[in-house]
Amino acid sequence: MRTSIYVLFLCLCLITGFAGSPLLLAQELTPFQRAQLQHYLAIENHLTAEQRQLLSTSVRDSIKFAHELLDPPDGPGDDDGNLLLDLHSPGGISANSSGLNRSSSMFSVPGTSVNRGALLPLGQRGLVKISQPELELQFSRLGGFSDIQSSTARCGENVVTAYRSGIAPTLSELLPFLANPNLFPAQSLLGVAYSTNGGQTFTALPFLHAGPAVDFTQPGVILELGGNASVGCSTSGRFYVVNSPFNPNQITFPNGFEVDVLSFGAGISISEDGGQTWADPVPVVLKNQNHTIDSAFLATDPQHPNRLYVSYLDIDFSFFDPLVLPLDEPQLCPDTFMRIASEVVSSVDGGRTWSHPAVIREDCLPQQPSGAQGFHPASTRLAIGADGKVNAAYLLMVPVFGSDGTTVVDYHLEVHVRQSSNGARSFGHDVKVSDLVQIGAGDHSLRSTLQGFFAPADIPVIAVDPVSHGKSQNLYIAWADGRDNPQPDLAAPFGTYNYGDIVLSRSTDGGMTWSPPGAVSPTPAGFKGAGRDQFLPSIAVNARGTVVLCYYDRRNDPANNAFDRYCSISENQARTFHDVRQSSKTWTFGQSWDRLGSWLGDYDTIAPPSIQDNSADFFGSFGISGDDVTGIFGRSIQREQ
Amino acid sequence: MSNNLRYLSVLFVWWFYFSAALLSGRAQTHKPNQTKHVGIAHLQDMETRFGPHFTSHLSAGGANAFHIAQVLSRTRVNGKSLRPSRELHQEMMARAQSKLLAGPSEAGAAGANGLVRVNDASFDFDSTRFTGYTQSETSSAWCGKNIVVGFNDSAAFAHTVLQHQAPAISLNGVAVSHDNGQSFVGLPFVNPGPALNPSSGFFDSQLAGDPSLVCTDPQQFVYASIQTQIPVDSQGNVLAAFAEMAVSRSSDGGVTWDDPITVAKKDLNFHFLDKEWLAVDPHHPNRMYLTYTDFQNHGTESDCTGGSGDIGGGPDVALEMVSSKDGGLTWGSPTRFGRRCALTVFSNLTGTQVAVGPNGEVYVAYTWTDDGGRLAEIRFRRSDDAGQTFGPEIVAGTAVPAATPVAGGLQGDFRTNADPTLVVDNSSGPRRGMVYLVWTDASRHSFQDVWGGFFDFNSDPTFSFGDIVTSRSLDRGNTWSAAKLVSPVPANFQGAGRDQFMAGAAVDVQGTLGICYSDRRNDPNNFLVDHYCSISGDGGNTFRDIRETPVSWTPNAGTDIVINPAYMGDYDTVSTDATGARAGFFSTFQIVTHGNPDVFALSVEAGKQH
Repeated sequence: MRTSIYVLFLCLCLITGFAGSPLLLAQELTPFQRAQLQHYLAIENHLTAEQRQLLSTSVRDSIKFAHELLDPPDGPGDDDGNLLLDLHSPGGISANSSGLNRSSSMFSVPGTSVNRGALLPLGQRGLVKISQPELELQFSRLGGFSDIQSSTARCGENVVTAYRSGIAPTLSELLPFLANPNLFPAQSLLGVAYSTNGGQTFTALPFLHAGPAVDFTQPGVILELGGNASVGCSTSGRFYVVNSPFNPNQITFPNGFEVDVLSFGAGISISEDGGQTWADPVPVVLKNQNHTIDSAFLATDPQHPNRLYVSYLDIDFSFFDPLVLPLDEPQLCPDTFMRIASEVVSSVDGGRTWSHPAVIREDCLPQQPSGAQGFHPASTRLAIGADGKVNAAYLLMVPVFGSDGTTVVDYHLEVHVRQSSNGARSFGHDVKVSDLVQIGAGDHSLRSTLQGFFAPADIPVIAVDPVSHGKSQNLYIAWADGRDNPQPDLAAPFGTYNYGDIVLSRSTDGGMTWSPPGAVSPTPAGFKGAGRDQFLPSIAVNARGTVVLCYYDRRNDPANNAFDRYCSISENQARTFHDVRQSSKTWTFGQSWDRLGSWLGDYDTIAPPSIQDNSADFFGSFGISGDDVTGIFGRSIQREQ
Repeated sequence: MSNNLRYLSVLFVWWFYFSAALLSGRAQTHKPNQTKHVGIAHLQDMETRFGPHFTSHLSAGGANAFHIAQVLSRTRVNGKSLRPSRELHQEMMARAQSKLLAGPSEAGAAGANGLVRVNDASFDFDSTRFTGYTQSETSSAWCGKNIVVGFNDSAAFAHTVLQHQAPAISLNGVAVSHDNGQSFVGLPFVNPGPALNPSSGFFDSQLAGDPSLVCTDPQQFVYASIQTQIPVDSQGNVLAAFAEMAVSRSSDGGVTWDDPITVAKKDLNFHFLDKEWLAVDPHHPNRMYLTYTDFQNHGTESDCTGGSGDIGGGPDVALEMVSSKDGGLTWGSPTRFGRRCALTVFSNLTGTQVAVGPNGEVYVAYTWTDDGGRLAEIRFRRSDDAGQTFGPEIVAGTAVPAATPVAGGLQGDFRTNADPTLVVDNSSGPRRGMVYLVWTDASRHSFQDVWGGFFDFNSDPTFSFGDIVTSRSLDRGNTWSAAKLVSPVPANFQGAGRDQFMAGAAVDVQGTLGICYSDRRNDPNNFLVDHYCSISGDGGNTFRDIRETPVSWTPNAGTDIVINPAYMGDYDTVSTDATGARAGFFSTFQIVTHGNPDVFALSVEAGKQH
């Protein structure tokens, strides 16, 4: 019986997508799977090296899987792929046969014997453990134990954190399948945990519910929740998790497995009980396979909490290499090569219905010798003011043209903002906030390689002060910037290593003009090394106007290797900041221990207290990825810690 | 350029361009230029010719060389060097020599527990934040008060390539102690010798790591490593390409090193020489033996023209030995003692070690891995005529490769191996002449691993925890005892298993056996690493463990851009005083601090820690 179970489990994994499935083998790929894999390879092939860096870590990991299955690396120490995209897999991936298939009778699932909570990853006093990494090691020593990239929301005493979970793909497919081997479960890359006491303790669910299973004898839709989570709430009971990419794949099984329609979008999961149970996810936006919907971000209107906004990046290849016939979507850039757009959809009924996409910025990229190049936006973050205006901050890739005036020879980055006064149906004029000087190696892509050979995303974050100071509410935008401390470096492409600072720019006139960016926590005067990096900021403002920025920081290691987590707090409209250390112990960042994915992720967030609860603390979640196993931790952010 | 030019010729082509850019001060665009695309195509073509997954057969040093080729092919070069660096090299050497003259220093001196840093940490980031801080894979030699430690060193690469302190490239790191190992002074690199054609302006010669050191008296040290040379004309046209083994000699206790001496030399178009080991006859110190693996393009030699073990076939492998009768100045022709044609993706024949017994008998041991990569055999041969001929091949033991057998990556995703360590008791004690083999065998403890079948299609879905085992021979290697665990899993260990890996071994003047290795026994999650020595005074019947590392450390590979991302070294060694003046062991190993590997050492006396 067990043998048959695992043969079926193998089939299950073969059909439910490659993004986290443990048992995919190239020779057994179905047309559906090949289409999925080739889609991700097409994404990589169609983008320039710079543009690839705009993809989220989750999508980049999917590309890695596609390479491993269709273009396997050669073995220990070999490379395969772009310098910044290669993710250090020392072992080749199967392309020939299945170990599990052959030896399935040997495999037993330790689901009932896991030693929960026996192995704590770090002695981090004052931190609250949100995910359960020690559970994950009970399943594998090779992969599936990295939890990264958290998003947290707080309404009242209820706090919900979602994150990309290393073990969720296994648990979301494996456990339901063992309960009923006739069904193909949906796949989730997300973990979720909830707290009912303001973040003092959390209960982690095995994974964020991904939807109904499908009877393999009937046509159906298999849902896949991607690894980018963004959490919000309207009440202490009603919480949301937006995920991307969200793939509802219509599949029939007449003779083997065939795919009818592949689609890509962003989805939303809703809980009515403070995160303890979750309804089936539904799309907030859905497009055909020629699109990649990535980096979705959820913002709620603090004054009208049932008004929700989701921004995302749409990379559209419809115009030069249609993989499947487009549905009824118009071709928005018919005479060019590629469309990259930052878009937003909105809901006024707590996520039950959603508007058509509105464009924050879109660019049609002409063909260049090295691919489609030109101006285009990258990841976008939203903040809703007390006046209901929707503020969108995004990174703009600005091409540098060669002497012929048309060939793109380089890029530089700018932080921009646009504002909508009509519920995100349209946006006003574009305002440049600042240039962004990339940190680390400063290679002018959307990810700068830092010491330790990892590449965090360069995503500006935005918040609106709900307190009026004069005529307008203050707006704050922060990002990691390398302008203040460049140091000579012989291996860096442009000869310098730009130590990163978290910088903040402020607008006091509703976003029309912005102050020059300034470091919120400059390098300490007594720092003994050449510099220290700060990166991946998050930002929030509470109802009293207190501004909090949290970020990863290497200030406690003169060699600039070890990690800490710090928050900077301002009570005077971001003029000055006071730092608090969130981590009680520095850790060694390990980027390549888990063969299934990258560590660190693209973001973490801070949950401000709801506007009705002035006395509550901010709550910040983040990943500790090192020294033992990686997990998501959280901590209330207080002025003295 | 020959159409058949293969392998590191391309690597060197990249170094040529790389160095030319540095020398000329030409700032290059970060867009890959056409030439680099051509080079990548050549690299892929080389692997096609040598067989799929070729580099997976190589040692860590060999794999690093190919990784460097790829990195440099994608590296966007800044056109400026920091300063005229010949002067910098002179400054560094003068500083090192003054440190040695001054005696123990605070920076390199032993701590309270006896642990001493070996390499000079001030070199770690003196060129860049992206390389130069990896020092690991150690070999040491101990004669009297002088101890020299060699290691793979990305700082040496940075000093020679990025700072251009030498006319050739060196990946060979070295540090010297003149006070019984109480303190060390790190040198910037081992002298790689002159450029073959100084007027060309290109790097055309390279010492490529994989250290193996011996000494014959407190002044005379010999350092063996991989070497490759590609002479070019003044326009950068490649004239020839050579895969080599080399030794560097020091006559002043390791402070200065003569130009490398070529020990074995073959056509790089068809051969890559890898993973050497060096031994000296303790009773005839001018007699030295060096073994290595010759990876060959399939069909290069007539005895390996048939069959095809994999798609494209190959590579073929020959295990060879060369010897010297004059302390390493000159070397004879190779003698072959191992052969395998047309490797599969996962089979191998490599990991040679050589040792010399009390009567001048020469022993070799190496690893044979089956076609599926699931079982290894520790094989052994003896020569009674100073390496001219060898007796029959004997299977001394077997091993299940640790972790997932094929992929070979331990928990934490770094490479490992089952290669043997071979030592002989040359003491005057009761076990004189006893031969020991030590290796990692993961046959005893397996973990049912969900992802095992995914990363390793040829094996069961398991993760296997490695144990250090030893076997001994009382009859000069004709028969071997059953493999014995050196240090079983502690009874109170609470995890699913713990890894042991990368064992070195030695027998001291009193006949005491010391086996030192990396060990994860102190972490139930099997991530954190310690280094232990197991000491036996009864010929390996019983052992007493000594913990060398006061604090467990976190492994973290893939942070140094010139080091292959699965690398944390292939071996560490244990040395004894070759002069016989002192008993005990000198153990060298790496400790990774926040992603920064450095070499540390501990003197381990037979009865206690130093």
